[in-house]
Parts: sequence; structure tokens; C-alpha cells
Amino acid sequence: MNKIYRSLILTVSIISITLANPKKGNWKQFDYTSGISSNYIFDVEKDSQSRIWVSTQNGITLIDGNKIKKYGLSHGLPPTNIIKVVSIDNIIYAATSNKGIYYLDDNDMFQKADFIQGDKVYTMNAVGSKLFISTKLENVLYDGQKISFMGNGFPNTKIRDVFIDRDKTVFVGDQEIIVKKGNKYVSEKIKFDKKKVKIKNFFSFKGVDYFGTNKGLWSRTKNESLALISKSDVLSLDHDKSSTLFVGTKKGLFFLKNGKLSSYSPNQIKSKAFKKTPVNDIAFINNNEIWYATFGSGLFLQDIGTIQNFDQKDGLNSGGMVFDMVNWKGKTYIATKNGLFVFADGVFSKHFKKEQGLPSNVILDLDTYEGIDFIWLATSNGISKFDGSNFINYSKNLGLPAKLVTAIHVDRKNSDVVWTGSEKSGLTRFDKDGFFNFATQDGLPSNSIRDITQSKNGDLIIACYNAGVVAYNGKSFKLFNKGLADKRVILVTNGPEGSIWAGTESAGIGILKDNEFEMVIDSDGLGHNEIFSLYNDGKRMWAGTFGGGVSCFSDGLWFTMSEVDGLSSNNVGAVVARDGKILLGGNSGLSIFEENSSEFKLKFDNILTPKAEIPYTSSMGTLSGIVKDRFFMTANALMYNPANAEIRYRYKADKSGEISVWSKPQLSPQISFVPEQVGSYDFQVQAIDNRLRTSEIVSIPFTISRIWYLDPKTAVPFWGGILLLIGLSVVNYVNYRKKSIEAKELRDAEIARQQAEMEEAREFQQAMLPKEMPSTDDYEMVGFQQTATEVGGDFFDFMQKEDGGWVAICGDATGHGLTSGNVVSITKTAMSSLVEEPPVPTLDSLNTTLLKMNIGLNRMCLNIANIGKDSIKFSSAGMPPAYYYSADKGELEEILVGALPLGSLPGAMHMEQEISFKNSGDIIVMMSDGLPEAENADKEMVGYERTEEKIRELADKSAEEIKDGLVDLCNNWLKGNAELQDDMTFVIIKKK
Amino acid sequence: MSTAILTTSVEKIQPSAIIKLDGPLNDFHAKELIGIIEDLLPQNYVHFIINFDKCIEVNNYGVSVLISLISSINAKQGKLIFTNVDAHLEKKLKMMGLAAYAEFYSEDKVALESLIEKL
Repeated sequence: MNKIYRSLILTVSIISITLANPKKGNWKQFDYTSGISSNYIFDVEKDSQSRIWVSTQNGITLIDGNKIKKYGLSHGLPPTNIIKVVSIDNIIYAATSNKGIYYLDDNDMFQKADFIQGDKVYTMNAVGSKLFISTKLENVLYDGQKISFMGNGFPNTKIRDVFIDRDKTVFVGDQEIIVKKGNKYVSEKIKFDKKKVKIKNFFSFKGVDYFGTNKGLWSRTKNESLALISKSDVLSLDHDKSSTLFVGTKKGLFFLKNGKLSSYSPNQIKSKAFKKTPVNDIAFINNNEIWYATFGSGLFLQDIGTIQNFDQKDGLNSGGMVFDMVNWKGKTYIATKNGLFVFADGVFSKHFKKEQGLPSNVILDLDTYEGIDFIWLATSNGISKFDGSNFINYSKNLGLPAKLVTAIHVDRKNSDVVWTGSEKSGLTRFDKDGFFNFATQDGLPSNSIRDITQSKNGDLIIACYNAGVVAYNGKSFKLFNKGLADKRVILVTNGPEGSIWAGTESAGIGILKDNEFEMVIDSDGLGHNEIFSLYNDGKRMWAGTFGGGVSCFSDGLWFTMSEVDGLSSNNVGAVVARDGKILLGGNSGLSIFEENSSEFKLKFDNILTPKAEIPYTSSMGTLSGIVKDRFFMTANALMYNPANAEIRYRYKADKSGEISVWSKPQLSPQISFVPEQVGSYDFQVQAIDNRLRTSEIVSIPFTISRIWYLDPKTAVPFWGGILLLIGLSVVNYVNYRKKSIEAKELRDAEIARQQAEMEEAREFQQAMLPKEMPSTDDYEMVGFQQTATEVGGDFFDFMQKEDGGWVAICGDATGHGLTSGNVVSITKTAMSSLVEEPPVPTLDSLNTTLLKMNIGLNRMCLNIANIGKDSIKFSSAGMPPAYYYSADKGELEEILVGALPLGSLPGAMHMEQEISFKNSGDIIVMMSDGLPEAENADKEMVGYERTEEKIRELADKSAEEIKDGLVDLCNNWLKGNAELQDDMTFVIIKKK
Repeated sequence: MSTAILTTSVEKIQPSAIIKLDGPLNDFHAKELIGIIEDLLPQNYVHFIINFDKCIEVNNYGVSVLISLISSINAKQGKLIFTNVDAHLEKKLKMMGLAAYAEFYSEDKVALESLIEKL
């Protein structure tokens, strides 16, 4: 290691030691109102997935990036204190005070571990890849599969804590510490000079052991006796890995520095009040992330590393503004409204004012560079040359054109030449020959000079207020203002790649490249458009703004830090880099920013695809989709920041073989990816912390194909199949049409055949009816039949007996069509041979005949009226009642002779009724059910009562007129808008 | 003649079954009733209460079907009971001789009680 490098390391180390001050930094408090389970916390742990587990007396809280989740009774935890959570192999174990050990299963539920004996747990720690557990009954190691006892001389004692360092593991008992030496555990009793001392925790570094006990904090250097540092009841110890020991006690927080304990407290809680708060655990992750578990005030997060602020309390009384800072000979010189300060090793070592020789306390600009022996100062009362102790002042009376000097620059090619600018008097060169002034008459575009720098080729670069940027090559001035949105240029500095950066009063930064300015404004990520300072630290550009904090341009990205990120002021008048840190001077003093270059973790909540919501895992495989599919993901940055700094997210989708550009950072964690083309994509997302910190880049591979019917692999068979299907369909359709036509022709032929058959049946039925009505001297005999739309089974007949008498029959075969026609035919044929028989034997005989014919469910209902000289013998089988009108009495009588229709049952009984029929005007009307059951459009039947009434009404009419009247009754009832549903048949006999 | 569908529901109360007709008992659907009763008879349901409350039409063919059931039911010493029969239908059933082979009741409950009493 060379001398310079060693020196550098030493400087960095000293600065770090100085700056790792727990009293500085930002704090954030999490209490039950923030969503944690309880303000009474036993332990806080960060797992390998950057999740924070908080063990409380009311369950466990998981802080997972920007999400907080509570685990309690509903998640299987017992109603008792959770004293510790440990993560091993991504399995979470929870130790309870008196209910044993629990672990978190795959269903996000805690299950009691049955591998451990003893519900009272003293401690649980990760020891290597194993879990060490000390309970009332045993001290064991658990490897995730099996338990192993410590053995090898490990004492049967309560273990309160386990200290693990790179080279040793120390088990801490109440009065002893146990370490492994060789294959044996060796117990060392610790003898304190007080009684009833119980060790609670142990820490060892740099050869010093620290014992935290109920009676105080002791230290022990090798081969030396114990030394009491503090009498506080120590509950927790941790260390920043360099020199600061953090001590949590029953009465607040302390840190050990230079052998002395100093108390500190979160900046939102007064130190006095915090001294009532026990601090049960301290988890030092790094200088930017320290967690404190308190018993009563909740959880605290502290960042002592990122930004530390210094103000009047620390010795920087800047008078309200820091105007400039330069590094010179290992120290930083700070120009303020209240003199010049010297800052080194975290301390403001000197403060120069007018009393110490300054021409004015208002120092507007500084310039020097390594290798020269002076710092030049521009003040409100001339310029000054400072050698580290004394000031040599040059004022107006020595030839300086103006008292107020706005800019000063030491020529980089000749340090004996100094350039100054003034508000109204142009540019001035000062050298051994005195002051030489340049003004507008010399070609200077404006006499108002606000800043001066020098390009690599030696040309002066001048901020000319109200004109632009001017380059002076020793001979002439050249103005650049093309593309400059605001000519009120107040700052100039060299940017990367030979560019010139110009800070304007209200239009952001103009970057001069190829003789033209390109503006950078707030919408590009700049904190504010009023630029107050510009600085190039060699790899990044810094812009202090008036009101918007400081912005840094790094790797193509703008980062902006402001008061919400922990800066002491949003007005940043000066920026300078020192030992890897950035010093920012503003109206509230000095902020020192130390970049944390470690990447933080980033993950996603579930990824929503058009097909399903997929759980995100860091090892998830390739997601597939089709062009124009939209994939949604919500990023969750696992970065814990006590300041309210914003996290932004950017993404890009590198298509195979092509590199894409990052998107503009967005505040919303909702990210969507809509692939426009087929191919393999590596979709990358990164989170950006304002404080120049970025997350790991998380990649999600996608394979995007065309929608299946456009993908050549599937489209050819698909569209081929479709075409084939269409072809087959056309062929089938043609065949179908052909067959349909044939079928229709067949059907039409069949219908025609059936209609012809029906017509034949109708004709046959009609043929069975008498062609003419009998004409006798004694009776009017009228038969009538009106067929329904179908061929019904009604019929009537008049048959003359050998004695000249007549038999009238009126029948109704059940069913319709040809079958009923056949029944009628059979009946009529059989009847012809029975005409001489009385009605009852006739019906009996017909019943037997029809049963023999096996006519199925068809039946024959039949009325027989055997007309004698003065009477009618009437019998019926299943027919509606006949109506008899006695002219003598003038009464109409219903004659109902109930009996089963013919063909129903063997031996069915039939009865006969003899009706007197001797008076002129006597009438008998037989009918089928066609008229009484005729339904109009309202589904109302004519009914027997109306029929009877009508006959009574027509009784004085002729038989023909009675028939017509009954037909009229039917027609009137149907009103032309309903059809007769069954045959309607009457037989009317009237005595002349 | 109605072409509406006849639906039937059967309530079994051993050895009786109440068959509720909903729709027309005519040429188109009346045979379904034969199938139901022929299925139930072997299961020792021998008394049948046929409820005509929702029966919209009974034509001669429907009555023929009812008649055809008589012999099967009689063979099992069963009874055929009609309930909820309106006046027109009652007249039709009586004139077609069914009064000698079946009983008429106003409702199923009365018919069932009568059956139980007789048994």
C-alpha cells in the first residue's frame, strides 16, 4: 500500500468515525398507529429477504417494504409475549415467553413446533445455519430436520443471548459465557465485583469484551479485569462494526465512544422523556439503517449515515447562507454571509471574520486549487488572498473597479493571474501589473458578471447576466445563448464531455454543446428552476437550487434531495465533494451527504397477467403472453428510510438482441408492460431512491408470441382446419340441401298421401251416413253431422226393422282418424245384423264384438233409440244424455243412461229406458259431445245447460228447424274465431 | 284438442298414490297415466286418487284411458278415486259409466281419509 493511499484511507476512516454519530441523522417512529402490533416490543430482526420482523407482546409485525402485516391469534400465534423471531432457510421461527416455539407454514399460519421440549424459552438465535434454542428443559440446535443436543461439555444452564462474530460464538448464561474450544464447550464464570449480577448480553470487538448486565455495563480487555462503564440495566448491545457501541438500557439509549457513554434519543422525543423507555433490542444493519425495539414507545429506525446536518450548535453560524466551499490542503473552507469557516474531521475548527482580517464578512465566492498556496475570496468589499492564516485584501482604492465582487477565479494556467467579476463593472484581470478591466466597450456582452470558470483549453467561461455564457480566449469574447431559455446566467461550470453547464435565474440549467444550449428543467427531474450552485465532482453534476434542494445528475438520471430527505435546507448555495461525501451548504448550515452505494432489494406483489394473477418469486420462470397483452405488477422496494424520501421506479424491456432505454422514472409503483412485438423480453425494473441509491435490477423474462391463430406454428393447422371445415361444411350443406329437398318432396308426398287418406277416410265416414233421411207418416227424422278439422268418430244411422219400425243410432268412436273410422265401420257392420234386437242385447253384443276385435284404447259410445209405435226404447253406452220433449207436458227431460262405452270391459252392464212417444210434438234428440263441448275462443264450452235450453226453445219447431237451431247455437258460440274441435252429430226424431 | 303437455306429480302414501294431473288428458298425453299406474301397481300402490284440479281437458280418449285402468286396479282389489272434478267433467265421467267403478271426492285429503277409513 503506498503512502498516499494509506493516507487517504486514514482520512476516510477519521471522517467516518467522526460522522458515525448516533446523535445525528434521521429518525422514524413506528407505533401501533403506524400499524405495528404493539408499542411494547421485545425484538426486531431483518431477514435475508430484507423483511423486518417485530416481536411484540401482542403478536408479530412484519414490515415488508411498504407493507405492514400483523400476525396474531388469527394466524395461530398464542396469546403470550413473542420474544424473538429468527429466519433460517427462509423459515420464520417465533419464540414465545412461555408457549414454546412456533414456525410460519406455507399457508401463512403459525404452527407450534413439536421438536422442542419446554415451553419457557430463554433465547432463540441463528447459529450458522442452525437454530439454537434455550428452554427451561434443554439447550438444543435444530437444523430444520432434527434436534441435536449441545453436548461436548455444554452446561445445563439458561442461555440468555448468543454473540456471533466471524471468529467466535459466545453463549451467554446468567453468570457465565460459554465458548467452543476445539471440540469442547468451555464455560467461563464471570466474576463481577457486585452481587446478583446477571449477564443479559455480550459483545466483543477489537479485543474488548462488553458485558451488559442488570447491574451495569462492564468491559474487559484481554488479560485485564472487568471495568464498570455504566450502572445502567443493559437490555441490548450492538455495534457499528467500527468503534461505536450502541447500548440499549432500561432507561433509554446510549452510545459508547472513547470509553464514555453518551445518551441520545430519537429527534422526535425529548431525551429526558426517552430515558423512561426500555430499549430491548438494537439491530444495527448499517449506518443508514439501525432499528431500535423499545418497550412502550414502539419501533424506531435511525439513519446516521446518509445525511448529517451541522448548524450553529455545531459551530457553523453562517449568518443565514453558505455561498461557496472549496477544499484546500485537507480542509474545507466555507464562505458564508458571516465569514469564513474551516471544517475538518467533523469539526469547525476556525471561523474568520473581519476581526481576523477579512475585508467583509459576506464572502460570495472562493477559488483555489490543489498545488497553490492561496485561497482567493470575493467579498462584498473587494477581494482577499488567504494563505491559511492571514488575509491580503485588495479593494477599490487599489484599482478594483467595484466593491461588490460577485465572482473570483484563479487562472488554471497561471496562478498569478486572478479574474474577478462584478455586478455592474464587467470582468477584471488582476496580476502583478495590477487590475485590468474588460467591459462592454471591449466586446463583453454584459458588464454584469456572476461567475467565472475555465475550460480545459484555458479559455475563460463567464456567466454574463442578461446575455448568456461568454468564452474569452485572451483576445476576444464570444457569446453563446442559442437555445438558452433564460439569459440571466448566474453560474457556469465545466460539465462532462467538454460541455458547459450554465445555471440560470429561473429556467433551470442550460447545457452548452456544439454551440447550442439544451435546457434541463424541473420536469426533467431538477429540484427547482432557480439555480443557486453548480458543481462537478468528477463523475456527477450537482445543482443546488433555491427552494428545491439539491439535484444530482448521475448515470443519465436526476436525483433530487430536499428537506424531506433530511437536508437542513432547500436552498443550497454551495456544493463540494470531500472524501467520497458531498457537502451541501445552505441557509441553515451544512448538510453532509454520504452515498450508500449498496443496492437494496426490490420485489413485486403478484403479477397480473391476462390469464391469471401469478405470485412473484425471485426465481419465477418465463411468463408467456401474446402481443398487446397487458401485464401489471406492483413494485415494492425493500428499502427502509426514516426520511420521507420518495422512491421512483423505472423499467425497460430488452428484447432479445436489442437493448432498450430505461423509462422516465415514475412515482407510482404500478408498472405495466405491453409487448408490441413477438419475441423474448427481459423486463427489468429498478427502484430509485432520491439519495442516489438504486435497487437491484429485477428481471422478469417474458416470451411473447402472436395470438395463437396468427402464430405460424398454430395458424397453419388452425386456418387449414378452418378451411377444411368450411369445405366440408359446404359439401355437407350441398348434400344436406339435396337431401332436404328430397326429404321435403317425400314429406310433401307423404302429407299429400295422408291428406288423400284422410279425405278418403272422411269420404268413407260420410259414406256410412244415410244419404237421405227416412220419411214416415209418423215421425220427422233428421240426422246431421258436422265434422271437425280432423276425421272424427261420429256417426248416425236410421235402420228400418222388418216390422217397419225404425232404429235410430247416434255414435261417437273415441279417438280420431282412421282408427276411429274403423271402429265405426265395425260397429255399423255388426249393427246391421242386430237391428231386430232390443237395444240392451244389441249393446251387449256390440261390446263383445268390439272387445274381440282388440281395438286398444278405442271405444265406441253409442245411443240406440228403438222407435216403437207409441214409445221409444232407449239405451246408451257412454254417450251424452238424450233429450226428450213431452208435448203433452210441455217439458224437456234429460235422459242419461250411464254406461261404459262399448269395447271397454267384458260383461259391461247396459240399461234400457222406455220413453213414451205417442203425442204429436214429442221429440227425442240424441247427440254426440261435439256441441256441448264446443269451445269458443275464451275456452268456454257451450255446455249441457245451454244445449238443453236451446232444445226447449226449439221444441215447437220442426225436426229440421231444431237441427238448424242447434247448429246456429254452435256457430254463434264459436263466433267465427274458434274452430269446432270434435265432430258434432245430432239425431232428432219428432212425432208428427 | 289441446296440444299442451300433461305433467303429473305422484305423492305416495302406501298403499295409495295421489296423482295430480296438470294439463290435458287427451289423445296426445293420456297414455302417460297408464304408464305411471302400471309402474306403481307392482310396488303395491293399489289405490289411486287422481286429482283433476289442474287438468284442463278430458276428452273421450282420456276417459277411455281411465276406463282401461279399471281392470288393472280391480285385479289388485284397488280403488280408483277422482278428486277436484268440475261439474261438466263429473257429468261426462258419469255418462260414460265410470261412476260404477270410481268414487268422487272434493279433495285429496277427504279421499285419503275415506280410503283409510275403509281399509
